[in-house]
Amino acid sequence: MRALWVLAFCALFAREGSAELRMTLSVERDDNLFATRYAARSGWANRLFVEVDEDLVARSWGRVYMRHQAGLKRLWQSEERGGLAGEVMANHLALGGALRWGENWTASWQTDGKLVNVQHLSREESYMRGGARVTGERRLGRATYIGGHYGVGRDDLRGFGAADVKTREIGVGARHGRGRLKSRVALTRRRLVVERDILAATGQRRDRMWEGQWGMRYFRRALFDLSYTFLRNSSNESAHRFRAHRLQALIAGGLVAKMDGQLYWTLQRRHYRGQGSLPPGGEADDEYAQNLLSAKVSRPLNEQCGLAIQWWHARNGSRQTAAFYRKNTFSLLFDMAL
Amino acid sequence: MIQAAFFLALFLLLYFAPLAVYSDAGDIGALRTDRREAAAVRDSLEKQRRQIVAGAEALSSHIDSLKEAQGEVEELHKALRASLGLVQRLVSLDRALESVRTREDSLLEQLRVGYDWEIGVLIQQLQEQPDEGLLTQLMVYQEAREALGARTSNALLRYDEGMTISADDGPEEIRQKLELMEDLGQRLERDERSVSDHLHKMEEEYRLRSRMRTFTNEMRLFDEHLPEGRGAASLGDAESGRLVSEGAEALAPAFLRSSEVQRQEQGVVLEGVSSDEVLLEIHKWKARHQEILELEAVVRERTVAFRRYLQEMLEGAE
Repeated sequence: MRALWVLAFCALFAREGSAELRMTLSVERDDNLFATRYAARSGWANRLFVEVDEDLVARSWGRVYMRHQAGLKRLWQSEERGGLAGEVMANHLALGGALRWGENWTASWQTDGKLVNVQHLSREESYMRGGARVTGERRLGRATYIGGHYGVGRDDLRGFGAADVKTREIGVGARHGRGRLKSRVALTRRRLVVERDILAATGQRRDRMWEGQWGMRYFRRALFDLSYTFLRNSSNESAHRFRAHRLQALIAGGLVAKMDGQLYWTLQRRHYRGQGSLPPGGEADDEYAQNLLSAKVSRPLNEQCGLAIQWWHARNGSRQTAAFYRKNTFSLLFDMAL
Repeated sequence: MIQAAFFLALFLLLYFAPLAVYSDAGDIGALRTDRREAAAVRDSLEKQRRQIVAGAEALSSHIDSLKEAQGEVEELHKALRASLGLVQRLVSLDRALESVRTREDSLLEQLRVGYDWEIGVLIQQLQEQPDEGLLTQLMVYQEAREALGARTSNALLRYDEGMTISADDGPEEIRQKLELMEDLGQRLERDERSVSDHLHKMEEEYRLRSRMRTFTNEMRLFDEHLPEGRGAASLGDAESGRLVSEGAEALAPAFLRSSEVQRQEQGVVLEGVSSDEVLLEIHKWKARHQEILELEAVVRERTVAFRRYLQEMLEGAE
């Protein structure tokens, strides 16, 4: 029933002729359905993802667009005995625009609203997010762009003991590319304030993060996108000072018999430097690692529809023995684009 | 304070960095001005060259007459030295002319690229939303671009120098021109194939990017790309529930939630795979493809006309 609501919501936003609508419906088998470290339980789940892209205004001086993504994930079994089946419903609406100023200047903005509603799942949380971002970019020559951005955001987490988080960021970046190879660099300074519950003993947490990123994209028969990110976080709570390295790769290309293959890989290693006091239940490990790997093979059935199979592997958490979770998911997907 | 410094640095970077960099696509007007100036310089150099050639011819006649007279040796040597100077000036003028012509060719190519780019942008905008002003602008650009395209082909392939039939042309000249025309046709065919291949690749890239974007958007929507870090899990977690039950102090809501770690990463979101720039390139290459097809049609038509003319001429001669 909720899936129908999601579809109806998307259809409401999609105006005839000017919108692009994509939908994915899948059934998946997960060997660690609740992402637990111990006693993993396997099970089935369904997922629906709908995306609508639309240009509301498109003129020579600029444009205004709307992007809406909605998704529903429903597990076939409950986390606790006799409980209700877990469910995640997510909605993300982005409204943005771009303004061309002369031949070389572009100013753009985007406002985001995201709502995630989680039911009967302990490891995921419901929240509401709002954010805004303005960007200025200048073209140098034909293939080089430099720019900067400023963004603010706020997350309101629902539930007892939940902390609200405010973020502010500012950054500069450049990208260059002609022909097959394109590269990009960016430097961002981010401030984060965690406003914990008024009863919380630890009070307000304030973080400042530097993020440097380099990325490249190359196309020759297949599309390769590779990026490296370095993160350095300082905090008024010494337990949260860390450095992290993240490597990310995306490959997509045509295979045989009209089939497409996609490969996604993320590797992140996070090293905490501070040894400050942690709250009860806080984990004092110094090293955390994340490894996500996904492979997808899809084949179109006709102009609009296609079938795909996907394997997803995740390893996430502390590097200590048995202090992380692993999960493998196999999915069968039905894609549709209108 | 840091933010203010950041803003200042950003402003300075945006304001000053681009000054020395030349924009070939955006400054069509500047390119046209440069091209006009280059043409004026070339005209001036050509005029000087004509004067020197005329001077050299006069001097050459004078030297011939001196040689015939065989009397005034000193005068002859002086005239020969003057002719050497003229030759040196001619050589340096030729060099300057060659340099100006190369610059003109380069400017012409930049203008073609600039127009292609703008036409691509306009076509994309018109596809998204019809607009009369844009349409007019597109027509103006297309006319300007077509004019440049024909002239470029002339320069590159000697299209109008050798490819028109004059009254003085005999069958042999026409046959040679016909062969050149056929050669040009083959070259255009090769170009068309190459552009078509490139276009196909760009469309494939666009398709793959769209697939990637959908894939990453779905992952982001469900927050599946976020890492875990230092902190406790949420209160409802069955595992942390075990921890909570171990001591009364653990029940205090002093929890660091895993979500706090994840919020840090929200800004570090997965790089969105934009397809807009590829779409623009596709439109640009489509415009170029269309242009080659049109030129190919013209060449084909003219080849047929040349052949018919030659045939008629030969039949008339018989």
